[in-house]
Amino acid sequence: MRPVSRRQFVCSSLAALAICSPARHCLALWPFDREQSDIRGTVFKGDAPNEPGKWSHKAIHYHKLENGRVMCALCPHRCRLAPGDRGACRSRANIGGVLYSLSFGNPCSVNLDPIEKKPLYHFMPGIRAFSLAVAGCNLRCLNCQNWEISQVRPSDARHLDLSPRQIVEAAVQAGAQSIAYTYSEPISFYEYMTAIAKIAGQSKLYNLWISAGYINPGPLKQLCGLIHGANVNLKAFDDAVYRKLNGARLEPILNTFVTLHRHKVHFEMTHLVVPGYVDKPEMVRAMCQWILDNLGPDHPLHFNRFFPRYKLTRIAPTPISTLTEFRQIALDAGIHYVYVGNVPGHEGNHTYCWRCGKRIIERHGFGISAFEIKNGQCRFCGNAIAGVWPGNEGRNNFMPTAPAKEIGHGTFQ
Amino acid sequence: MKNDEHDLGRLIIAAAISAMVAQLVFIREYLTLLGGNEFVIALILFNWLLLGSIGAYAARNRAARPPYAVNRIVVLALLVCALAVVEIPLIRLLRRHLFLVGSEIGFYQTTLFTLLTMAPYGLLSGYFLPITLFSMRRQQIGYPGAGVYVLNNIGDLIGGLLFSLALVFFCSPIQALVVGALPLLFCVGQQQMRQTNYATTGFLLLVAILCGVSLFFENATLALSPGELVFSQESRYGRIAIMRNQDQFTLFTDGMPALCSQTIADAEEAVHYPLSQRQRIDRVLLISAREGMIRQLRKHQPAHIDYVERDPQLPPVLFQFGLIDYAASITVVNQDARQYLAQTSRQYDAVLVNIPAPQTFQANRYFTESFFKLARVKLTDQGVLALSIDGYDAYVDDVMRRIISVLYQTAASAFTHVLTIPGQRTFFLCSQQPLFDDIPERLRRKQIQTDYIDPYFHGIISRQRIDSLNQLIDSTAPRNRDDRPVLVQLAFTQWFSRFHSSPVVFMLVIAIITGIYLKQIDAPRWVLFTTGWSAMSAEIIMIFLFQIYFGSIYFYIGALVSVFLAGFLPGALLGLRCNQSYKHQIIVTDMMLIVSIFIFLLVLAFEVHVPRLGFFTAAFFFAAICGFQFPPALFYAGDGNRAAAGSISADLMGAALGVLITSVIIIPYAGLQQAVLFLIVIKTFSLFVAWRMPAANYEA
Repeated sequence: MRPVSRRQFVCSSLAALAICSPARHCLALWPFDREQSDIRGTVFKGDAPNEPGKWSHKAIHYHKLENGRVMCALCPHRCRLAPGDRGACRSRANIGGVLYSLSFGNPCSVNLDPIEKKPLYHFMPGIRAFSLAVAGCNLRCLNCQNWEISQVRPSDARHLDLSPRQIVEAAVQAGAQSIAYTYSEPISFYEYMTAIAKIAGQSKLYNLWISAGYINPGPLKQLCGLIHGANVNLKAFDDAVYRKLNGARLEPILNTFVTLHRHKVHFEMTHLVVPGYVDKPEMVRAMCQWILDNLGPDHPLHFNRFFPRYKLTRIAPTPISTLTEFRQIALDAGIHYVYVGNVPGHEGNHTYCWRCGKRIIERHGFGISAFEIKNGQCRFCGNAIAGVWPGNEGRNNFMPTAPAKEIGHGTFQ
Repeated sequence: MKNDEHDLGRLIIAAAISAMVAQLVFIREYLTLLGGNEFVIALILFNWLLLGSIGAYAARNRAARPPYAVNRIVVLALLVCALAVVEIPLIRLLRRHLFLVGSEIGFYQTTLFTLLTMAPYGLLSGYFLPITLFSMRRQQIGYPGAGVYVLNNIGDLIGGLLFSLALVFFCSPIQALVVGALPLLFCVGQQQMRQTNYATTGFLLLVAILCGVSLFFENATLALSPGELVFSQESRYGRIAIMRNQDQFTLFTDGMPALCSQTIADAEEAVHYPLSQRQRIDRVLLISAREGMIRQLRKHQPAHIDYVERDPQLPPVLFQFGLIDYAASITVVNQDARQYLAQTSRQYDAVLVNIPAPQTFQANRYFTESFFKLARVKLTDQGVLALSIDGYDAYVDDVMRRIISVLYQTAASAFTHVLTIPGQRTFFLCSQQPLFDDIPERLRRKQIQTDYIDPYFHGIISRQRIDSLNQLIDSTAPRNRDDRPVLVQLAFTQWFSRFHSSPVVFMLVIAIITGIYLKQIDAPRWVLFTTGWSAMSAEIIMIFLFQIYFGSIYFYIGALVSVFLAGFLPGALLGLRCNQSYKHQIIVTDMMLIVSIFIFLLVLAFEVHVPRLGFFTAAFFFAAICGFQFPPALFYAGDGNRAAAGSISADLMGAALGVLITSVIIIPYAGLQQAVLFLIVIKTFSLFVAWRMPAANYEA
């Protein structure tokens, strides 16, 4: 070994600390710049199964490219996949030049939940939602509470074998009035969801889409014809935060809200207040202004309390006063229905008539202890309350309004 | 010349004091910044020892060149000292700037971050010891390499005692580093007064100023989470910090949010699930606590609450910031809870364990077969034991399923009835009498109102969810034992799966590097390598076993480590004076080590209850034998400068691998007895190598 001089050794030692910074570039183990960091998912090269599985289904939204390559058109990632590649959502793969959904027919989680748990506060309060998920997600949220299913391949999770019809039968048998596509990210099992939704609609079950909303307008428009209610996360009103905490971009999600609004789908928005990232009042003001300008004041907005989860475990929960303050900011801005979630007993759990200020739905956890809405109107002042209520189910886009269209090269079988 | 030799001797001791304090501060700092599962703890120690070993190895290349003058050694010592005080705030800042605030980091990021940020200090401090030996030999021809080893051990022992008995109680981390550096600064000052060298004196002043200035960076770099740091204290068990965000106070222990003033669900679940089972509750034992628990407990009107907390500095902080309430019926006991349970004559209607899911050997002791059996004895006929692990939302993955199954089977080994409830956390209620899952109804009967359970229980915990959880429990799952911590092993698996990574590549790289290293070294260094491995592994095993028998008691564990360090000294001194042939000495000490480990194995196999004194005696003698082996191995290898540096490096390398392999592979995956057995195998191999060594010295 070549002798090392004292000077060389000392200099090397001191330089080692400085290496930490350039090492980021070389090793790509952590982002180049924290403010510019982006955790968006990437294609899994060569990770596709050799052949489609029992339930694998040709994708509806994709484009064929040259040399057997395909481009998924479902979400803004627009993954370009060579044969044998798997998409960023882990649930779509190019097998022999055809894009397949690998999540069809294999739900990994099926539960019966109160609709308030989604949360959907203005959609037939008190009904039960037959809730299901298939593994996979096109986002990478660091605080995901379902990372065990959202960040794995569909085949990696323990799952059931249930056809769309069997799902609907199971939901009816369980006494559910709705089916919720939830827990993981239903965009990743789009084909399965739409197949179930068509049958569920025929069986007079509501279809509820609980999503992060990272989807392209085309597939979303098609979906709008099938779903009756939605809760879509607006995780931040800041593109940089979206990129570094969730692995997504803000603009497509805002487009999702606009599309849902234009198609008159009842939807509610959930904003999880993560301390240090999205707990700035000015961000909330800007967000509320955007909502008012583009969606109007009637779509309910939920401010949810953050708890440490998954990889974001070294942050304290959101202070309740922050949530109270944000609720007040949103109300002051003119949004009619603003809620506080994950805080038992908070006044923001209840629904108030925006005109007379009276409490019109009193919630006791996920249950309803007082209900003062009749035919969609405040029982005290007669003001119309936005939402889908018992007695006026047809008024808010309760049944599918448009038939599903085929987009892209895939066929819906 | 004689003065120089004394100066260097004092300098080695003072530098070792500073280095030992720095080592302890660094380890605590990394645990706070990166998280403290057993894997991370082992990784930090491994990196530390590895860097020391590389530093010492690098010094071999200076062996043939003229040694440094005393002034240069002084500058080097001051540089090591300065690096420590600079690096601590720098590490905190780097953690914040390289990774997202509030996020946990994965295995490879942890490995790289610790290795790179430790590198300047670790390499330099490893380099320092052999370099000092070379200079000693400049003053005194033939100065034995083991002499430096002895001086270094004296410094280590003093530094360890200074930190454990004083600094940890009174100083912040940077203050501790500065105090630890004072003997070194004093030594250098004294030396400079006799032989003034302006450049060195200037550097001394610069380092002294740096030490002073660094104190001002303490608070500015301590904040952990969004909000204001309103309280921070170093406790003997880690760091306690309180962050305020608006009107919410959050307790952080070792960098993780543990209790939050505005969270009610956790306390309601932890208290009412078990206490709703019985109509009358007289005496409750809390093992650690959750926010707001006392308020919830009072609703059941217990006559007395015993609250056991290992860390005496924690309860006053919890009371001060309103995280738990005062009540006349509470008795706070500062003791290891398992030790308390073993000693107390009281019977409890409920024992509520609020220890987080086991990620360390220490925490694992509250989730083992022995603990469940101990708790059963201390419960009344109708008594209920409750504990919980992290919950899940919609899906139980395979690792979580195994964790739940292991815990269920372990609890079922001691209790007739075990009820699992999937809530915010997954609860395990254990009793000899039947248990019920209709919690809200039972609370209604007791006329107890709740803000969370009553409105949310049926929405979150349906019959279907309880049934599906029970169906998932694997009846063939192994039980979690004190000496075979299956849950710690599963915690590792869960940690890796969360980051979609695996330690396989890391272990392969380590195996390849070790293979290359072992191929290069000669027989006596093989022996030292295995002795370093055995010494470190034995220390870990003894601490682990001591905790099982007597609890995790700070002073005893500190004393055990100190006795271990102290044992090296007489051993090494005796080894220096022994006139037997070196090979003979090496063989005899290897045989003695094998016999000692074998006795240890018999103790484990026959479950002999060893008294505390037995542990201390065993630790002392084992370390003494290891210490005794160092001088003959060094002499045998020639004891030239190059050989000495290589020997120190081999010892450290063995220790580094020993800590890693024993802590994260052998104990969790194979158990304690197998870990001891493995030491016998290692040392037997070493004996074989020693036996085959030629009688003549290699480099004499």
